[in-house]
Amino acid sequence: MRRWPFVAALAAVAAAFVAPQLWLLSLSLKSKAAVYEFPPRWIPSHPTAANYWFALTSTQVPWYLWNSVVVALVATATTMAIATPAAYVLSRERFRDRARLLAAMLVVQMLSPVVLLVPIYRLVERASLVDTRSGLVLVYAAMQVPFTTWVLKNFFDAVPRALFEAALVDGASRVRTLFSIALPVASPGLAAAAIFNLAAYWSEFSLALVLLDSQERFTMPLGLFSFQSAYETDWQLLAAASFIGLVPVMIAFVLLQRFFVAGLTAGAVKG
Amino acid sequence: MRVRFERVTKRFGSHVAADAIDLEIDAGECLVLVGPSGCGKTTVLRLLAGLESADAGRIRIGDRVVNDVPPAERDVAMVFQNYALYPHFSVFDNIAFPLRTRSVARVEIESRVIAAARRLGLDDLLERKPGQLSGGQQQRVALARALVRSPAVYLMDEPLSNLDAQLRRQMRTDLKSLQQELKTTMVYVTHDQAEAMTLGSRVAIMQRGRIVQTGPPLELYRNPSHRFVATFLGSPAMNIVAETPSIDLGVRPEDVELSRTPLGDGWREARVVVVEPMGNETIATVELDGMRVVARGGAEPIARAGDKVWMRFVRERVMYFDRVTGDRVKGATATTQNAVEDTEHN
Repeated sequence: MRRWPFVAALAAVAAAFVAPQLWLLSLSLKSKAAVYEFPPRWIPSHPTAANYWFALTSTQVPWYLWNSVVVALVATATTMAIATPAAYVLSRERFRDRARLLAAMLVVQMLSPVVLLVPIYRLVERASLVDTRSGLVLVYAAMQVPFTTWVLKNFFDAVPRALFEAALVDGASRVRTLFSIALPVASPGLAAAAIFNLAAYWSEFSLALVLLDSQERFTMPLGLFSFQSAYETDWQLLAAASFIGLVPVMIAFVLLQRFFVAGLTAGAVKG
Repeated sequence: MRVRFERVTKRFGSHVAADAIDLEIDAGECLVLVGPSGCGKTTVLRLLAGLESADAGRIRIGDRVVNDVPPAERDVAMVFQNYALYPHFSVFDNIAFPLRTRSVARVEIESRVIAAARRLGLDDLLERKPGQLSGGQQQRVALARALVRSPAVYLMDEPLSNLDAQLRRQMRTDLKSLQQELKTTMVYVTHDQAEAMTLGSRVAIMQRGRIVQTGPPLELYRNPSHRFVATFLGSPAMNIVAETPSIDLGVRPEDVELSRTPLGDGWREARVVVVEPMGNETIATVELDGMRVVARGGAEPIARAGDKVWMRFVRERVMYFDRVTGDRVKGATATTQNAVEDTEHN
């Protein structure tokens, strides 16, 4: 049939994403000398885990990792905690200026945080939160709440209306309906939004660069950046550190993936 | 508990879904709201549930005006057309939910859920999720969830419309015996005239946001006040033929007699178009003077398609309706010697 062009296109797209990571992996397993080998080899002739060992024991990579985990998790939790009830209300309730509020949230999303770097810095400074992880978490959450609210609202919109009406007649309060009905039924959407936030916070660079000064509070992207200057051209070490930084994202994805099961609402309503 | 609608109106934009509805439902009775889709019957039910708020008029449950009472405090239980089961809860948890929200003690929840499940034959399915049930089982879970609470009023929104014909027929009987046993007020919405006829102690027929006629099913069947009621109830539907330029004649298929031979005055010759043997009865469509009439006869067909037969209407069963308004016209019979004779002149 005509499937092979489709398969080829998919393979090309997949290769474009996977190839750099494989190259990263390859680099990280090489010795310093092998990095400059010509012609370059995809598969190292003498693979070594020494770079990983060094990155984890003799550099500040564990600190960076820890900071990133804390910042990404707390920022994601904060974002979801604010966006979920907001999205629920925007989806379920009708009130004055609801449409305008929704439009405003979308418009705000169009401003790049980079444009706002200076005012954001001023705000954080006034709150005496410069060079703290709390400051970074608050700014991150503020950045992602509007978008996350939009995404979650659409997931709540997709929950069959009859379920909410049944809960209403069954005597469930608004809060109970949110926790007992809406959240479980919309959980694939919540998982998607959470993963999206985690990934965004994990890789965020410019805000962290502006708001953090001390090396011991650096997140992974900042840490890798400082690596380049501190160890100059130790590419094999940078590659190993970068790869270490990828692992938590992969773990998070695998863990949350099970929430993406299709047809979670199967059997809720018929017809 | 007794339910009353007093001139209740509900609009959606410019569309009047319920137009000054006046309705009284006695305690313990099963009132069926029936009509074609979009007639406003579901709106009336949702107004009673509190899922819609009335623009005008008063709704009472018992002595209490409930217009501003939230659904949870109206003491009603509702079965939705598409069941609206909670997909992530087991059957047990689905049935238990209305009790849990009301902080009923755990032991009591357990016994009441099991009692409701047993009554509907769901004992073995309590651990399953709705997605693992057949349509009929899902439907019974939805019923059990309503039943478990012993509410003042049951509200049923086309609960059987998603079931296949045979199951629907059986559930109809089960529901009727359940209602007779519980003796709880029930408001039942359907577009199916057979459900209306069999389930309702009284039936309210709706069209375009208004109640056209209310009464016991057989009373409506035998004595409709309007052409719409006459044609809506009964299957096959009542035959409507032009009587005079301003009057329609209506006759039910069972009141059309067919014969192989002319039996005297009033019998007219007609041609058989279609014969549908049902086993217990035969539905025949005959044609005379370009108008088609459906007749219901005995188990054994008396003719085949294309045959000539003789036909007459049972005169005392014939009804007349105003062509324009559709209202029943009484006494029109007095001016008519013979129905078939007159239709022939048209």
